[in-house]
Amino acid sequence: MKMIFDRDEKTRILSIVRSWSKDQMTFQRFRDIQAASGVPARLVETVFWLEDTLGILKEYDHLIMKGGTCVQCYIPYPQQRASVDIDMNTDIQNPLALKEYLFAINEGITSEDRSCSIQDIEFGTLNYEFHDKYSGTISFTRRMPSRFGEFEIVGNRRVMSRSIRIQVNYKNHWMPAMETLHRHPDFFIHEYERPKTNITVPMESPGDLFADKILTVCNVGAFGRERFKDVYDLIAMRHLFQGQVRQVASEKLRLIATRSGIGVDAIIKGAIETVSSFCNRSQEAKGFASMVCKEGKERIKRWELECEDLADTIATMKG
Amino acid sequence: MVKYITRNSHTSIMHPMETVLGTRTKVRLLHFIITSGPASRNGLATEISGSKHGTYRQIEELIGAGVLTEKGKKVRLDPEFPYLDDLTNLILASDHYMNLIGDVLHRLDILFGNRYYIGGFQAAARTITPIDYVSDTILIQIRDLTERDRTRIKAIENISGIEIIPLNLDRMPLDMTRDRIHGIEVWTATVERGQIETFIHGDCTSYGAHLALLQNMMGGDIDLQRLMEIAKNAGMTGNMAATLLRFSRRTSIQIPEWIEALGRDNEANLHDCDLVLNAVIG
Repeated sequence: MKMIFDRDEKTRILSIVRSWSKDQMTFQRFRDIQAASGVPARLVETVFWLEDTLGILKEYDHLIMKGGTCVQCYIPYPQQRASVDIDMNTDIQNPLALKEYLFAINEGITSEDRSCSIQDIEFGTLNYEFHDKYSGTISFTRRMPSRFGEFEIVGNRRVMSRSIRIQVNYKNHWMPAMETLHRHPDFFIHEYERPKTNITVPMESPGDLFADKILTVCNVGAFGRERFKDVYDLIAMRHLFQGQVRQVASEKLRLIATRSGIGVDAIIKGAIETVSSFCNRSQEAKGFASMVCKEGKERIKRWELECEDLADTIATMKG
Repeated sequence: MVKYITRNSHTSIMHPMETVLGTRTKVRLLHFIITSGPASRNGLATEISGSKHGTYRQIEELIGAGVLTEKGKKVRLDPEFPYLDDLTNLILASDHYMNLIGDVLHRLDILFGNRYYIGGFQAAARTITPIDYVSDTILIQIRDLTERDRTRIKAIENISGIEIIPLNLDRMPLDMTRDRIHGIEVWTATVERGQIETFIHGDCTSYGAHLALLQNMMGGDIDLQRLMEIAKNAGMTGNMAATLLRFSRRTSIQIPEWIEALGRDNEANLHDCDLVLNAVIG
């Protein structure tokens, strides 16, 4: 059954968003940003909700943002890509304690009136999704409005909404980050709209992120997956790879290599192999380009060269 | 297929092990004969501390079942009993079942998964070797402790002889870690949290709590700032500061000025402080 919200209900749902004013969240405004940035309006909307959700999490200092969403905060707006979820590390080791900690965030959400229930459908609160013991992650989602024809199934009803996934990794408790920076999450939408308040959240440093992404793309041991967005993030971060960033990345890789029993050189070699194999997939990369801002799309046109340069950069990290 | 006795039924076939091991007295009788050899009926009744009448009756049942036999006035294992080796092995091997604190911790970890932590003395003393002091009591804090949990813990206590104090947790603390105690990986409180719990929950003596604190301080195994934060939540800041000050004065351990100032305005358990100071530094 498809749920229909009336005008008042839609207004109430939008009122849970605190980072943006109603004028900034219009259908037309998202379309304008699409035209200017090159990112589809439905993904633009998601980035608005990401920032609002980070506004809820900002005071929870056991959570440190990482992953693709975090990477975007360090690269120029025109090269950013739309990211649709929030990945975090924590220093809390016990999964049940972490789950309770995350549930407690709902108390803040409710007291600040950042949630509502419309026709028994909860918006704005964090909903527990699952606990993956293998990867050591606990996932929650936050249901937000959607005006771009996206539906989610809730019970036997189809609800026009979009859920933001928040995934927290407790297996990295021993080192949530080599270097934690407290920064404003600076997404490409800021080129067109500024949030009502500038929030600051703890996030991994570029050096941490570089190391994480190298581990993500290397097919060695338990590490590795092959995804365009991970290779793209490394390409977009390549200009940062010097000085302190390089030092932090190298040190983090060394520590993780020691802990996992896999040598740094094996990790670097695995990452280079993956990146090199992506060199020949420029046609497929064009499909991925739809979620990237305009300058990023230009870089994707030079995919083969970008991958080669990235492989060279990663190779300089060999011991 | 074995048929069991049911109420108001004439079916009366029992499983053979019900006759062999069905009572505490029988287990004790068999254990004694296996470990000490043949004995008289009178001697057995004395050794296992049972009533004469009850013991005699159960000896006759074991003879009837083919487990024991008579030689002269003494009763001994019947070498013809087909499961003699299995029975002997079971009784001897289970002698050592869960009789070490590490075994008990391992069992608790299996039973309670992620919803518990080991606190108190075991957590506080995990990085030190307490001087001339042993506490086998385990303080375990369990999220949503139920009667079923208590029954299971009681069974472990009965088998191991190790005292376990289960407490209900309203909320899981964020700082618990996966660490080794007595060689077994368990969820454990930080040294600081465990230390404060030793003073509150009585899983060791007051002397033991003071001893662990002093040894942790001397070994640099305790973060005094964090200790005082947990003490504050437990409402024992003044007493803890006074104890730290007392230890600081008699040793070369430095404590922050604010703890020193707070300690001067409060009272410590001087008797136990001085006892452990004498034990540790002479």
